[in-house]
Amino acid sequence: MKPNNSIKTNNLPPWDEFQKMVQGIWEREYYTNHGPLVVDLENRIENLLGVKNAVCMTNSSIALMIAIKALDINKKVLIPSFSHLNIAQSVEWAGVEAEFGSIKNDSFVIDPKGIQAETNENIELVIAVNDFGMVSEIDELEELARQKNFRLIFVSDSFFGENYKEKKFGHFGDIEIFSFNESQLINGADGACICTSDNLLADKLRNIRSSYGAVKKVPIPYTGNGRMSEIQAGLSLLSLDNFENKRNEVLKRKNEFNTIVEKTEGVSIYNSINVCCNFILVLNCVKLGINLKDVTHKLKLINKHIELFKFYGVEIYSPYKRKSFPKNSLIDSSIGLPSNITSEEFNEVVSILTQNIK
Amino acid sequence: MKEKLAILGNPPAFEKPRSTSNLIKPNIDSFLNYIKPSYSKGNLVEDNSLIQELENRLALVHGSKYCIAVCNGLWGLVLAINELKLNNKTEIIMPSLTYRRMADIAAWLKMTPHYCDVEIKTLGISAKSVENSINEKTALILAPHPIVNLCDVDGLLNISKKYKLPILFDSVEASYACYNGKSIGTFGDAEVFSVHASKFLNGFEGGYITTNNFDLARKLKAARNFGIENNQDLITLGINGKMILPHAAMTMSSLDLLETQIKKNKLRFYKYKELLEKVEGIDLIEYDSVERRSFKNILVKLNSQWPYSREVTLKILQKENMVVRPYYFPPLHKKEAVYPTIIGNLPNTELLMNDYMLLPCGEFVDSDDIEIIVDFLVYIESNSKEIKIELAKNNN
Repeated sequence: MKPNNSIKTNNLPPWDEFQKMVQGIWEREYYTNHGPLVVDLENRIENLLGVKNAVCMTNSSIALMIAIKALDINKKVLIPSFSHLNIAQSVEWAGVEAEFGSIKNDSFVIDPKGIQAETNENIELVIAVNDFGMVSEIDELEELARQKNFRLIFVSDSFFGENYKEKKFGHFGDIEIFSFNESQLINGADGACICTSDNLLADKLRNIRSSYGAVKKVPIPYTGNGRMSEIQAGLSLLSLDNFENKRNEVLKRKNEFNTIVEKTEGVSIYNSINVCCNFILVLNCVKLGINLKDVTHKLKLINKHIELFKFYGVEIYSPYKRKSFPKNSLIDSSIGLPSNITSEEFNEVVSILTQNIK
Repeated sequence: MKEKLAILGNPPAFEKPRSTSNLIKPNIDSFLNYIKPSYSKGNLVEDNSLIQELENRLALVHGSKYCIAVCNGLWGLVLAINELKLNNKTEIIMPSLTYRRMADIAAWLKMTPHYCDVEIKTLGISAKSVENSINEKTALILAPHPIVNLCDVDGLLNISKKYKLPILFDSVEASYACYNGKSIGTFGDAEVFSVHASKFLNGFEGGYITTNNFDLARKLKAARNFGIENNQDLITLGINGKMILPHAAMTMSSLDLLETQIKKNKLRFYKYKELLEKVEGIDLIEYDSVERRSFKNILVKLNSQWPYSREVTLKILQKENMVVRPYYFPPLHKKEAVYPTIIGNLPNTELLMNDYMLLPCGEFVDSDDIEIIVDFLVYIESNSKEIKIELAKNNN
């Protein structure tokens, strides 16, 4: 096929780069089972983030299931009271019971003080989620894990390449997971990557993922299939090639968005202007004169990755019953936007949110 | 002979490995054409149009009412069993002589694999072997079709009906087959297929489930999307089990090659058949001559005249870059597991488990390669005495 650079690709690489990458796969005739592109991707991530082990997976939901099995968790798992359904379901698939831990009142992250009492001897693992520009108090959680002897997984989906207190994400907890879903800056068409400094844990992850790419055979409870294909790895590598440029573009756009919302009464960006990650628009629905339920459909049509938190938290679904709904100021008054949302899409979102303002 | 065998330090028969994986290579332009519309939209996961097109096409191939594309065959099996199993029952009846991860699938479901025997004739489970394993804890019958030909579908369906047990066919190795003239994909409660690159259709990674049951299809579509239906209602336990669009585009391009592939597979199979006549110790397992078959795999039995154990045979051939594989070895009941398993009476499995192996096939194997492989087999068969002495000298 002839190159066609006029194709609009959002956060995908230009079509001719994609074509070239595909051509390489066709020449090598290596399609999956820990092929050369996956090996290259894992090496690149290890170097970029300075982590000992990067283990690529099919997607972040399967990565989390496999991570819990690799940690050999048999007791209970504490997860944030407000988090994507995927977190509770992954715990359930891994054969253990989830308990809902306190989150902060002004964000969705787990509250280290709040979970002091909740992390009793039955809690063997805490899963903390960093998303939408909201970062957990990582140092405090790591300290609590040491004190109380529980394992710690950070699901840091949209923080790939970012820093926390001058240390790159990828170094926190026993395991840290990044999503390469198309809503993220690294677009592997739904891939994921697990980072860990624990070599034995990395070997277990590789053995559970599939025997291909398992450097060393180590005892594991059982296997799954968490393989990343060569096309997923190829796409992720192309995102990595252009990572800094894309990151700067996103940050520039975010600043533009901030300028727009500063002039718009009732809308603000939540605390993440200088971080290249998914982000939250905080809304004053009374001032805006809107009911989020009424605009849900229109917003989803603009970009499927816009999150209406009404359908996000696991607690709204049976059988996932939380102890109590937190006094959280954000859940009912905010929407989540993907980091790669375009200026056009953002303007459309603002225009829908402000439709009732004269 | 010292100069001929790689196991004795000589160059291998093939410079590049000849494997048992299919690895068909679709037309690159066909792949790019399928993916381009979604790529233009910047959407490689959530754009349902290509997934629906693929599901419709696969449903047509199999003659099923519904098809649900998933991220891979393993999670397809897990999700399908989760929907079909009888409530409050814990055991899944499955053969021991099957896919090496089959018992792990039960473990993800917190269920117990109950291993049943296979028939000598089909290498698959049968009504009799399943019936021997049914008890008050049985939740589901998991019936994988063997690598060549099929298990006794009618017999199994009768047992499923008689005991009111759900039956799920693992049809990964029977992708293109027919049973009594009817396409595989419509039997039992559902059937699961893989489009892993090594299988009949190359989709990089991926799988799909076929069924005629509307309610099951509805639940499986939700299950692959975190259990959520129509973006709002949680109707079942799910995961992110979606097939991504590059994998769907690859599967579509592989489907375009279906007839060509069958022709190539047949040529390979009949070449083996013709040449293996010369090898007394090896019997080729033949495909049914009346029913539709994929002719993908080349399965042979080492009979009593073959001078080596299978283990030694595999070693010799693998050194030649003939990546031959033992047939489902070790069987599941011989593997150590950290979860409970139930081992039924398995005399046939014990009898057969060391006899069969798969010879190189697929895209990387042509007619000349088959001649080299079979000539080599003839050579090691007719020079077995001397070879055995040399191997012993070299501690093999």
